[in-house]
Amino acid sequence: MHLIETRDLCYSYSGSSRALDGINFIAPRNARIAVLGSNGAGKSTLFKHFNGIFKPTSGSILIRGEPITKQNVREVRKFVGIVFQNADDQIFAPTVELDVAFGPTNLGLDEETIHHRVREALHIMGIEDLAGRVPHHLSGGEKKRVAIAGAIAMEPEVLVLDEPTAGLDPKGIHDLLGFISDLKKSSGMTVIFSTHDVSLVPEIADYIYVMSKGRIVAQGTVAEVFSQTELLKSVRLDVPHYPKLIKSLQEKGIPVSMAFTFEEAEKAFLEAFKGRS
Amino acid sequence: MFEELLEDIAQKNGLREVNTNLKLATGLGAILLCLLSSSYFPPLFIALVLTGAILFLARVDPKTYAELFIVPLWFAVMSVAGIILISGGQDIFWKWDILPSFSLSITRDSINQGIFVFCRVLGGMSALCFISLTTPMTNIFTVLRQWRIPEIIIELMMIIYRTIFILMDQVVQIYTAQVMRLGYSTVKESIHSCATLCGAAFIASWDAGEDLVQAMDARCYTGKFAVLGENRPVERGPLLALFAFLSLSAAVVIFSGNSTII
Repeated sequence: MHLIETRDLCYSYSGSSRALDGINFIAPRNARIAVLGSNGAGKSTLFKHFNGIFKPTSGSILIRGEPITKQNVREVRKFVGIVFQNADDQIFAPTVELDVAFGPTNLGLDEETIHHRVREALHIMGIEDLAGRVPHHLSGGEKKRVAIAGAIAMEPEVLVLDEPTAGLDPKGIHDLLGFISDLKKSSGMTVIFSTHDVSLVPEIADYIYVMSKGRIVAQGTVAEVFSQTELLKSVRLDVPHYPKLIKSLQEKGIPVSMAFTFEEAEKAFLEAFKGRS
Repeated sequence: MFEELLEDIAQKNGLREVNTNLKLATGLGAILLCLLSSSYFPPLFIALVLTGAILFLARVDPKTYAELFIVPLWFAVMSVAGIILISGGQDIFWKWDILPSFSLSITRDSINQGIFVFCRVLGGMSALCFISLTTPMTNIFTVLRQWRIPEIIIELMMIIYRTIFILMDQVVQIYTAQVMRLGYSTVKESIHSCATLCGAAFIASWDAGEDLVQAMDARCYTGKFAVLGENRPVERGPLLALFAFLSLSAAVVIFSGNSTII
């Protein structure tokens, strides 16, 4: 049984063409799934199906093997935490602390548990010092963290992040990646995230979906997806620098083995150089 | 243009850590005394004391405070001028019969009445300023919950509070974008830009509202807003200060009776 599964999911916004067309998406337990796609590919629309905000026009979505109904939608939303692209839409309470407490409060937890969860979530995101601040005084990166803290305070099993790195500075991106890989070790939470910044993907993802114009055009492991250079180009995406460079070197007859992350590439180049000297 | 809002000042004022109930009692008590007084002097006294408190205890920048005061003061001056000219009375100093049944006059009574109203405005304004400059809204929410105000009202207040800032941000962004492209260079252009600004702000807020509902639903909204945070304890110093202020003002109200300025 998969945590999230969609079968031939289609969705049309009223009065316009198909936003999603025959999506078959699977999220297994304890996975890091990247959804790649250019602007307007349908990533956000797909994500909004994962917790029942949008209902499929046709096809189905199963959460832990069950369709989303009025009766279980609360359970589903507790199970799947979504952080939208624009943090401003998501932070609606007057202070950071109150905003993070919003989810737990609505789950009907007692006050002590709420306090504990809020502290925990702020601690995980490293923003304890922002607790009493008002949201409109926060920077973009801080708002993003608050929004993520708001989602993890509900202790979901699947965390869905829509463009989590958009608008973050390099340090912010680095911290976020660290946090995503820590989650895997600490809680076994499945993370699904969308991005069009392909260079980040090999570092954290273990499975990739590529979307274009509402369809899934490719899927597979990092190596499988990033070897399809032409396809990625045709959907307005790019191949990360390391595989791109290595591929071009290979074509010029230099024996370097393929690598996707910084560490792999470093190793591959060291080995290639050892062979020469 | 919109850089510093009242709320920003309240967030970092010198009296932020004082118990919210005490601050509200100061402001509301002052307004009540201004209304009870039938002489011009007590409201003036209250205005002076509270202005002193705002400037020296809360350490609000005098220039900001003055700017804040100017707009309502302008209204007050105009209405007081009206009151002085229209209301009649004894001891006429000056009179002008414009029409057979209507005349403008300045009398002893009308001047007294005008000054009285003006002082009341000053007192009330300074009391409101005192509350809004020393007490962040977030603290007021906590207090409202303690006072057992219905949840729905507090919740609406909280959402409105947050939405104001989102809307404000959007308005500032659109305004800046317009200014950068010379949107306010001529009068005609200004009117057009202003209209576009209003329209765009409306659409933006509509969208923001829809997003807000989705965001709340995504976090299992069932009609509950967290109100955490403790009120600060009532400390002796501020409590004594409040007591002294209110009793002194009450004494002034009683002893000044009906005294008038002329």
